[in-house]
Amino acid sequence: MKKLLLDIHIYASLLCAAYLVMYGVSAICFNHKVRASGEDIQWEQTITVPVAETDQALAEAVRDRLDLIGRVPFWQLSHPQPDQLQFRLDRPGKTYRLILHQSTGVVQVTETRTGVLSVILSLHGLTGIPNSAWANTWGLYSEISIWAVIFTVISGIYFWWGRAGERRAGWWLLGLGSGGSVLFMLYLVG
Amino acid sequence: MYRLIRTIHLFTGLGLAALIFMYAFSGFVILHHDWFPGSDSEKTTSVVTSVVAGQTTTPVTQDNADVWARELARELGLHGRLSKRHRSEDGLWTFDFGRPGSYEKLNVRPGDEQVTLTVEAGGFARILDRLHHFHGFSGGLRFLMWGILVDLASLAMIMFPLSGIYMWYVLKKDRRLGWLVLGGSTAYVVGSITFLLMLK
Repeated sequence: MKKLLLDIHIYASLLCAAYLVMYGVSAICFNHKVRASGEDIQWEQTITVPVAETDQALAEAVRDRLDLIGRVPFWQLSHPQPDQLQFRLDRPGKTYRLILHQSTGVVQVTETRTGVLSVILSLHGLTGIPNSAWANTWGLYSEISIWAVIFTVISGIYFWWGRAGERRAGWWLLGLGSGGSVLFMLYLVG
Repeated sequence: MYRLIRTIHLFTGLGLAALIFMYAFSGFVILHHDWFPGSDSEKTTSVVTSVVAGQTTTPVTQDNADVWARELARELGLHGRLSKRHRSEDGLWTFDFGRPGSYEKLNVRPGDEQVTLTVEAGGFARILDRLHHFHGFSGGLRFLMWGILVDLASLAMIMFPLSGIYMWYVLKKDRRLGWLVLGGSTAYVVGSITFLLMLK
């Protein structure tokens, strides 16, 4: 039984090792307010203007016509001119600012590539991206990794408990470190 | 060497187990927030009396606003980190205080002891969500300590897999399955990052 648990502990850890490293790097970046910056590229394309009932639906239809992936934040929709729809499209590694000229079908796109760090930061909590089948697989991998971490924490405590020689020192660390951090979390929340 | 790495892996793991567990569990709650109670916030607004605000006769400027906000927070028992401040044209100050579990917004005018306090309190899922995302070092000693704990947990997320890989390599004679799992998952992560960088 113990050998089986140890094998699951090892292979579950190997499965989520890359995810955890990436997660740790991005968490440090968030904690120290390290932000990615990027450079702009501009291009334009003419499309057949889709018919849509709302600005949100129109923006998403334009995204689909341009064969792009990403989310359209509703708070970034605007009409700088009566026949123009301006919106933003976000996905890991890139941000697009688009202006649709509704009378001509011309779409002006300003594309900002935000680089590796931005991709890593975005992957931290990514569960899906519209128009991207790949993003669903990332959501699944995140889910598996979370379960793996929960399992390895619990099984790690179980393995420690089985070692009589390390029990006393372990109790101190578990009590002071983990017990202390639980109390501190309650203090922070309460 | 193996024994040393194993001891560090075990003892740092025990010390940080609760934090790592919290991040994993709250990550699960964020992914499935509709499965858990308390994902919405409850907002209440009330008018309260502040002696500090009423007795403020000197002008409040952008330079001394933070000090004033902290005095007000101490008097009114607000425990959050000062996250935002804004002064409207008619002299009304708005201060936002945030901590995992609640946001407090204070609308206050220097010299007027009547202040408006809006408290937005979250339930179980919301608190875990905010705890997961709460970071940074500013705002006082306890937030500094939290920032240090976040760094420790983040470093652990990097060090545990690396020490675990070392121990697997030493411990297992037949490494084929391990290489398959580690290689496959690493290729997937690196491939995903590359894919997002290369994509139109």
